[in-house]
Amino acid sequence: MEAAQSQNISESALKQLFSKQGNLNILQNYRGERRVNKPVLSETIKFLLVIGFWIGAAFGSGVAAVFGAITATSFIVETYNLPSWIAEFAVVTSPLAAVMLFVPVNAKLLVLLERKLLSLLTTRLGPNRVGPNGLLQTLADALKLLFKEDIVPDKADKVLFFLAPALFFTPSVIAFLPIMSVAGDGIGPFAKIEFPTSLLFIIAVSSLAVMGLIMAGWASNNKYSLMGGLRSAAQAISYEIPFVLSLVAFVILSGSLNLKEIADSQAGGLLDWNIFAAGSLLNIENYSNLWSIPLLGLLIVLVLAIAFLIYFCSLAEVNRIPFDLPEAESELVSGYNTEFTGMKFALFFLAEYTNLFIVSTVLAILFFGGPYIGIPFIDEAIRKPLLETPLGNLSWLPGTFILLNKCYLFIALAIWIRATLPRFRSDQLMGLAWKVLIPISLVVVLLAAVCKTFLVI
Amino acid sequence: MIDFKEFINSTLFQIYLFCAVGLVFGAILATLSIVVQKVFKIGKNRKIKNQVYECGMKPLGKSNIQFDIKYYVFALMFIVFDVEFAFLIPWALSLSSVEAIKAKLFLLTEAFIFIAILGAGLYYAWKKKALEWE
Repeated sequence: MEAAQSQNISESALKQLFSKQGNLNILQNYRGERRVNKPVLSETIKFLLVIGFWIGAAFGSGVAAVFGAITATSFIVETYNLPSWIAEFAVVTSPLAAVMLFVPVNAKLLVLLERKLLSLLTTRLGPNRVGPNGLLQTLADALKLLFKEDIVPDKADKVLFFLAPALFFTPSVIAFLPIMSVAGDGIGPFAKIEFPTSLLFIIAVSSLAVMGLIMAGWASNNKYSLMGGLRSAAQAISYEIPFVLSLVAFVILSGSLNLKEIADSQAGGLLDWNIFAAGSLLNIENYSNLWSIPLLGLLIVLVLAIAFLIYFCSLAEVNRIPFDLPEAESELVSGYNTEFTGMKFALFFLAEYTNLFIVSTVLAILFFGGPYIGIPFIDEAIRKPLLETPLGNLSWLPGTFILLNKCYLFIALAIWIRATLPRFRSDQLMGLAWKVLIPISLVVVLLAAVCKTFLVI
Repeated sequence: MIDFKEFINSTLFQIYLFCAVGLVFGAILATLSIVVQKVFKIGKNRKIKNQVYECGMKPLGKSNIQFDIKYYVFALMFIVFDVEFAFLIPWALSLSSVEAIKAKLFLLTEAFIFIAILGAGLYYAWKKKALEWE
């Protein structure tokens, strides 16, 4: 009797709550104060403004680094009559300057994006104390990390402990090179970056990062760190197989390992994008045979499967939820970075977010048109006025900006996945890679070969 | 003698440059916190702080624990598959470069045999319970 009454009360209370506030409009701040009927729309607009500011900052810092390095050096060379090869050297190294300035700003953007978007997805307000609406939160975090104490645990391997964060960070910087060949469009300072085999390069470099993780796990003399390092190694090598196999399937269809070629082949509008079967929908006259129609259907499904496999496995390679077993905080404290403090910890963070950025950019280049917006005449119209400017040919700027925004969309997708899915169990994770994904990707490679043989793509 | 100007204009130089500067940048950031610590004199009472973190307890036993042999088995399997990619990628590129349908069919049968052997290996490992993770 009593129990039934209490149930009735709680039900009516719930009904009252929902009728008053709606279920999405309950936003709480960190003190637990409720802001009833806070409009979700205005929160979203604020979020977009904050993130837009940081996207502008990231893009601007990269561009400013390129031109700053070139113009400053040429000015110094002219005024002090230094040999001219110094100016040439500055032109060659300016992409590096761009990357070195872009990486930290980009990581700050991504951390803020993750925190803000996660809080929006779980109807919280998120960081909103530092700067207007939490704009400068990550800047403050970075400053805080700089002033943290540098602790080296007892009996730790000091050399490896020092080297591990740097070694984890380096591959994420190197992986920018093939992306630069697309973003820079081979113009001006980027003319020297040519990669006929950029996809292979990315595969090679992305598997290097595991070394840093194992090193970190081993050097910190901590059981949890060691377990985290080993787990990350096992996970990375298991998911690399379906990742590379689906890339092989992609290479069969596209016929190129060069990211720039792949990006340029998608210049002719939305239907030319690889995700929409790379223009094969347009060439209807190629499909006069009866058997080519089911093959075309197969091709369309196949491309979607390859895109899904590549994104899924690359999420596993960069240790994102649902694959973040190496840093599962309920089992391993924080995994391989448990013992790291201060800037060393920040380096791990920096590298993780940069890896996520690179993976998303690669997906955007391979399947979603890369630096092209999808409508040919708009693409031409935004590039044409920048062909001849006082600073030289700037027609790579809009493409880079578009590529950047596509990449942030995929990062937002990864964050959405994080807000939605729970973490795998260790045996489920390995089982998924070896018993599901590898057989599927083997079949996908064969089917891609069949499509390529019998269809004109 | 390597032509210096030609070398700095090559992609290889860019790769070396990115490797070197990435490592140096990482090392500088890692030393930065040590420098800040020395300058601002943060960090006292290091005896207990330097202890390895183990949920607030004193660490139990050795840290370099024995780990599961399964990791080794998976690493072996990985090597087998990873070597196959080295063969698959040139094949994938040549499939799109040949024109004649006969050559294409030849390449296709080759791939079928190759991947069948690979699949048989995977099946064998599966039956031998090398893919189980307890």
